Amino acid sequence: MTTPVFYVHKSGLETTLQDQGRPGFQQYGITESGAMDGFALAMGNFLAGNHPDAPALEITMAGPELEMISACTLALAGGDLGARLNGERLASFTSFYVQPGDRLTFDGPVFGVRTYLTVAGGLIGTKTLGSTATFEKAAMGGIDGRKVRKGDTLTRGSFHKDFKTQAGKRVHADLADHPYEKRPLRVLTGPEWEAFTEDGRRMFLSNGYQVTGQSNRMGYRLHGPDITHEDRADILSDAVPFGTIQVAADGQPMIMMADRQTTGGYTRIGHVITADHPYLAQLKPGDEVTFQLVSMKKAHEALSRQQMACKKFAFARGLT
Amino acid sequence: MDDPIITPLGDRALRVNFGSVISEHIHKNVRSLCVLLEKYPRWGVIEWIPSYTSVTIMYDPLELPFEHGYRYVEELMQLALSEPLPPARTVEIPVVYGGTYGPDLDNVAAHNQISAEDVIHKHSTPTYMIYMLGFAPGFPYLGGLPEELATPRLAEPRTVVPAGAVGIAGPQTGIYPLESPGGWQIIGQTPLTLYRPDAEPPVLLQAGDRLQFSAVSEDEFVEISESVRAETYEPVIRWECEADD
Repeated sequence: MTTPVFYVHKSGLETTLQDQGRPGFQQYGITESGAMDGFALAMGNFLAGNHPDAPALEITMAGPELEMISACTLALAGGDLGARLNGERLASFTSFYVQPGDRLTFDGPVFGVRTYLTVAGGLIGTKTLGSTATFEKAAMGGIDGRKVRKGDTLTRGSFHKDFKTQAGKRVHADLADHPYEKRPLRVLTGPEWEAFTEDGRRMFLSNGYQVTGQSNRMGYRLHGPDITHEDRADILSDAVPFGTIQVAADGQPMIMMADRQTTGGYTRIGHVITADHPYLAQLKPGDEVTFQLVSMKKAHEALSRQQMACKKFAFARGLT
Repeated sequence: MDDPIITPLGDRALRVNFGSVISEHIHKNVRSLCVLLEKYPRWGVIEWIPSYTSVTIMYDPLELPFEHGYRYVEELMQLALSEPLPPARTVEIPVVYGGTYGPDLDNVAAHNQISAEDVIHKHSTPTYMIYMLGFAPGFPYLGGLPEELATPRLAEPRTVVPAGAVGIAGPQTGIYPLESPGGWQIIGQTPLTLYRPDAEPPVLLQAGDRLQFSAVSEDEFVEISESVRAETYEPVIRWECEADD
């Protein structure tokens, strides 16, 4: 059964339906897509009483204007884009209850660039290859393969819990803020680490790099001191998982994100560890990042801690 | 199977690398490992991505520690020694060449100082190797374009190239799976659908397959298009065992 939840008066800058993506098809050249900040989507879904993979709105920079059609529990998680319910400020990482006629609006970014609006029961969209994640280039998922736009009415699925009891919940600040604390991005060396000069590698590890305006769901282009190659910047096309840092002949790094192609043709200097992907997903043009090498053991420990914290939270919400 | 180099690729992938050049011999190892990954699945393995010279295996480090993943690949390598590789598919791709379907056929002919008929003949004679898919859903990276057909990309890319367009870009030939902008020299069009989200698997061609283009008339193109739309089209496929080397 589906129930209309809200009507879209304004779409916002880039509002899409996303879940945790469609892995499993990269061998066919099919992009993974899904939430840029999978941690925030999972927490938002837990707040709304859902499975971590339930489809939600990914809202970027300038949020939409929505009018509620039915009573329901919603939650916001991720960056703080200045959300207001009937003019009252809503904090990120909280759930709230809405009534028909309520208006959800966004002032603009206070922290980060992406927030997830989750809805008890999960939003309903078009499923492509088992996922609702929007990938417009190939018209996959979303609403008939596209972004959310003005005039859309979004519907939700059914849920088991008494949804009134889900409102007014929040994620403890330690857990909600930890992934977003300012710090260097932790990286593992990439397979072409040796393809860079010693000087190039030192530049990469000792300088700040600025996120440029040429940054989107596919990837971020960064700007900073040149990272010089020994010989060639091109490789035979090969896999580039989320967080891979490629450096083309111009010596500037680019970080591959959710809508990246499945393979890339530039030397891979490193990979941002998975536990730092939420931090990466909330960067905006103008932000500066630095890189710090860590061991794979440390990367796995950090990921394990983050996922255990998520699981504990889900458990406390009675969702396991 | 040749001894590969197994390394991490970030904290959620393991890369099995068989070499550094494009060769059918190296790719046979890639295909062999992909076949075994499919046949002997392992908990914690999410998916794998074959490329020209390597297979990247995505795994969940909380389900499958790296060392266990490493040993799993080593076990598969051992199995590869005793398990014969299943026959490879050669998929026939009907193409209507030239005219409005292939507006750059004459460019390619002129650039290489041969006739348009020669371009068609030379393009539809070889069996091409599909090394990997990428760039777009179902897009095949093909090896085997005759050197005398190599043509630089268009100086000005088109804003719209239709799905099914068959083109040449430098030493490469390929097929556009989706309507998109593009700068390839378009010499023809196939009525077949490379990306078909409702089918299993969702793509017509797979890494490790081979393909051959076959010239068809405009009438045949229309006929095949209709049966593709009606979902009654059966692609022409040959199965061939690969010689041991």
